Formats: sequence, structure tokens, C-alpha cells
Amino acid sequence: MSLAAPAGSGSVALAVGGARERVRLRRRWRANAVAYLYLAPAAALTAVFVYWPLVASAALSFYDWNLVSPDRVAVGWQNYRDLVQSRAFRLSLVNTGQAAVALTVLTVLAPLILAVLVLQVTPRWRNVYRVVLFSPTVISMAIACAIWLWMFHPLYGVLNAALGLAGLPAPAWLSSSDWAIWSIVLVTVWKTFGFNFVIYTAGLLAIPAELYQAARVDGASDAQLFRHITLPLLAPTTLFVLLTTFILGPQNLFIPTQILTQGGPNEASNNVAYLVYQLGFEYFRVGYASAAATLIFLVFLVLTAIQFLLAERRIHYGG
Amino acid sequence: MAARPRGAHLLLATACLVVVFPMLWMISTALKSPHEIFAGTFRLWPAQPTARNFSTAMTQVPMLRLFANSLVVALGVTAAQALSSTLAAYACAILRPPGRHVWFALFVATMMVPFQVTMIPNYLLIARLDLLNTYTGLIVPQVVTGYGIFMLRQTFKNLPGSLVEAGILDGANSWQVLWRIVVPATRTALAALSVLFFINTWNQYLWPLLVSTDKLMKTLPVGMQEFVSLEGGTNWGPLMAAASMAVVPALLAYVVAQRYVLESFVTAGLKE
Repeated sequence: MSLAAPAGSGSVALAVGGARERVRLRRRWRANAVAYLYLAPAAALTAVFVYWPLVASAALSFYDWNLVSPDRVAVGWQNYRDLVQSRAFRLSLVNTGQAAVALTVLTVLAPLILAVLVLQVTPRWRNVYRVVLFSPTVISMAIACAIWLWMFHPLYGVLNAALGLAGLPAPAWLSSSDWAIWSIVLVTVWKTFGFNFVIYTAGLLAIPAELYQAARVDGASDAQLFRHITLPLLAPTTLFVLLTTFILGPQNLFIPTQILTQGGPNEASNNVAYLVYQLGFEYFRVGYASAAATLIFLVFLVLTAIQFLLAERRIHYGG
Repeated sequence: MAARPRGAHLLLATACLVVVFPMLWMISTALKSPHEIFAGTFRLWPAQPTARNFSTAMTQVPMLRLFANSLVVALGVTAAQALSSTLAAYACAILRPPGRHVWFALFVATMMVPFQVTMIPNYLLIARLDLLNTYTGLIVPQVVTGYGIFMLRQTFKNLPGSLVEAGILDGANSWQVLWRIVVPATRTALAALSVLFFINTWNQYLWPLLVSTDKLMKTLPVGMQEFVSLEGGTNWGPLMAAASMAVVPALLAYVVAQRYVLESFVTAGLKE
């Protein structure tokens, strides 16, 4: 709405412009204040329940405290020293690393294969398969664990009965220090693969069909189509899937660990998601548990940052 | 790709069977008598189906109360998350005050903070406020979701700018623009997101495990674990009966809204 001032009345125009400018600034200031009111609830609650606890957790980690006693004893870095030297913490890190890698491989490969298959059937069947294959993702992990606990049962479990029928050896699953962590991984894969499957299906559907037709005309084989069209064009999807799986995977281990093994036998299936809970709410060593939480957060932060840096490069490459 | 549907169907049907089997086994066990459960016969369809495990489950654990608790918490969290995400996303995507990028980044970054890292201070805070074993204690710490704000900002940004401008020219203030224009125009996305919030909260375990120690304040996934390793071993029949009942609302919400649920999962994945 700016009107051109007639020549000769420059100073008047400036004065009027200044007043207008002030009104405009005041209006904008008001609009911004109102906008911050909309942000306020989320901002306040995030500060109280996410960012403040991060600080509080770090502060608690320098105390020895049992959750109920009125006294908190300052112990400096002792919790960290104990933690780094403890077998449970080292085993937890190793187990979490192994489980995260296994989870990432399994919940990326299986969904990719299933998504490729589901694209070869008619849309109506595709939807049926999609709904069924996604269904474990919708039920509660705690309930899933109750079901698997029953299926893992050493005597009356259907899993070992089926393996016996197939002439295969029956592992002791949850009570075996070799198998416990892999039993947890198995349940987690069953419960979570549907998410990546649905994302891969959408990623595949987004690839233009003409590309395949053109390549076919040129005489490309199925394997060549997959290698030279499907995989490269899926690269951004794969990247997203890898990132989220690797970040969320370790957190997903908590419920199966708590319900199926409690980290046992003899810490063999302990992992960082469970360890903090175990130290804080089973052993009531709050400071020690907070030290573990803080260390784990730092490790997690570094890993996430590395992944984002790698992702940044790959996304430009993958286009 | 050239369709070879028969092989694909065979493999997919097998995968579906494997994936669905645990749930079928849950229902099958729930319908078996204690005798058959430990008979070592492993029949999928029970020899003599019985509903006794269901009535045992209802009497051993206050199932209806647990159900009500889960419902109150899930609906409360869903409504609160939808509202807080809508307001924050509206500010970030449409009102756009200076500094919004910082706040948006702080919201989204909460997705990267593992729950285990914040749970001890949050537990201590709720305990000090005397909110253990209350709905408030169960609901309030999870009112904000970085995921929700992220998704809705994306949705609001895709609205045509002319829509909002028309509202402003009509003399509507920001509150009216939000509820008369923005929310109605994006109600499908809002509904899909709310279904996700509901399923997530209905299924959650760790926070209620810490906050609800009172038998009558537990949610279903937590209260159900009472059947696990009771004195004299786990009570498998009633446990599977309780599990069968507990999965119904989440599965129902999913089946009714599956198209929208799957779609919003997908947009979360693809918009990156």
C-alpha cells in the first residue's frame, strides 16, 4: 500500500512514513508475542520433561543416593569410575552394539525383500498383505513379549515343539547365555519390521514404472533392473530406514529385556536400555544409574551426529 | 517389473502365516483348558474350546479397571499431544515469529533423547509432586511429542498460502484462522496422527510401570504382567486371555483407520 510521494513533499512523507513504520513495528511485535503464546505450552513442557531432566540426570550422577534416604552423598567421579570398570556395563555396551547391528540388518533386509515381493501382486492383494504384515507393529510390545515368553517355554513352548518336528535342536532360548540376547532380538524384529516394510513399499511405488519398461526394452534382466534401478533409487529410503532403525533399535530392547530375561542369565542379555532401569529401579542406586544414563546419552549423541554427517553426504549422492 | 504373481503370493502368504502365528497361538492358548495347555499336543484349534481363561483373567486382575485406566490415559495423552502439536506447529509453520527455527529444532531433537536418559529425574519430579498413581502423573510428562510437531508443521506448510490470507483479509485473528481454516483443512492428517498417538500410548509400558505401583492404577500392558511368574509359575491360560482382550482396541483402531495410519507412517518416512 505504499503510495509514491509527490515531488517537493519529501520531508512530510518521511515523517508520515516514520509514524507508519512505528505502527507496523508495534503490530509485528504484537503478532510475534501472540505467536510465542502458541509455542509456549509445548516449549514449557519440553523444557520441564526433556531438557531439565538431562541436566538433572548429569547432576545426580555425582551423588550416591538410594532413592529414599534424605542424604545424598557427593562422590565426585566415583560412579563413572565404577561404571566403566563394571562387567555389567561393558557387557551391556557389547550386547547393545551386537543387537543394534543385528536388528538393523534384519529389519532392513526382510522388509526390503517383502516390499519387492508385494509390488508384484495386484493392488488389492498388496493392501491385504500390507495390513497383515504390519499388524504386529500395532500391538503392545509388552503383550508381544508375553506371547513370546509362552512360545519360548522350554517344555510346553510351541517353538521348540516345531523345531523338534523339523528335526532341529531346541535351544534353551531365554535361560541360555548364548541365546538370550538373540531371543530378545527375534521378538524385537517380529514386533518392529512392519514399519520399515511399509516405508519400503511406498519407496518402491514412487519409482516410475517407465524406467523399468525402458530398461526391459533394452534387454535388461531382473537382477540388472534391481541393481541399477531399484537399489539406487531406493537409496534415500534405505538411508532413512537405516538411521531410524539404528537410533530406535536399542531403545526397543527395554521391554523384551524386562519381561523376558531381566538382563540375565548372569547379565548375558543386559543392554543399555535395561541397565539404567535395573540400576535405578531394581537396585535403587540412583546416582550410579544416572551416571549410566548420562554416559549412554553421550555415546548416543556422538553416534547420531556421525550418522547425520554420513547421511548428509549420501543424500546428495543418492539424490 | 514383469509380474510373477504366483511365486510372490506363495512367499508372501508364508511370511504372513509366520508373522500372524504368534497372535493365533495367543488366541488358541486362551481358549484351551489348563489340561490341554500342558498336554504337549500343540493343536492350533483347541480340542475343547473353553472361555474359562477369560473369566479367570477378569477375576484375578481388575481387568475392567485396567481397561478404563488405559483408555483414560490413552485418550488424555492423545488429546493433549494433538493440541500441543497443533499449536506449536501452527506457530512454526504459519505465524512464523523470529526464533521459531531454534524452538522447532529443540522440539525435533527430543526424538533423539532416549527415554531411559530422562526417566529418573522425571520419576523423581512426579514423586515429589505426589503424582505417583494418578492419571495426571501418567499423562502430563508425555504431552509434548517432537514427532507430532514435526509432522504437523510439514502438513501446515503444505496448505496453500491464499487460504490463510483470505482468512486474514476477512478480519479473522490468529486463533480464528487456526480453528476455522487451518484445522478443518487438515483434519485427515490430524485424525491419522491422533490414531498413531492413541496406539502408541495404549501400548506403552515403561512410564506406567514406574508411575503406577497401585494395583488399581495400572494400565493394561503393565497390570497384565501379574499373571507372569505368580507363585507356582506363570498362569498361561489367563495371561493369553488377558492379552487377547488387551490387543483389541489398538488392532481395532488400526483396522478402521489403516489406510490413514499407514499413509502417515509413510509420509513420516519419505518427507525425511
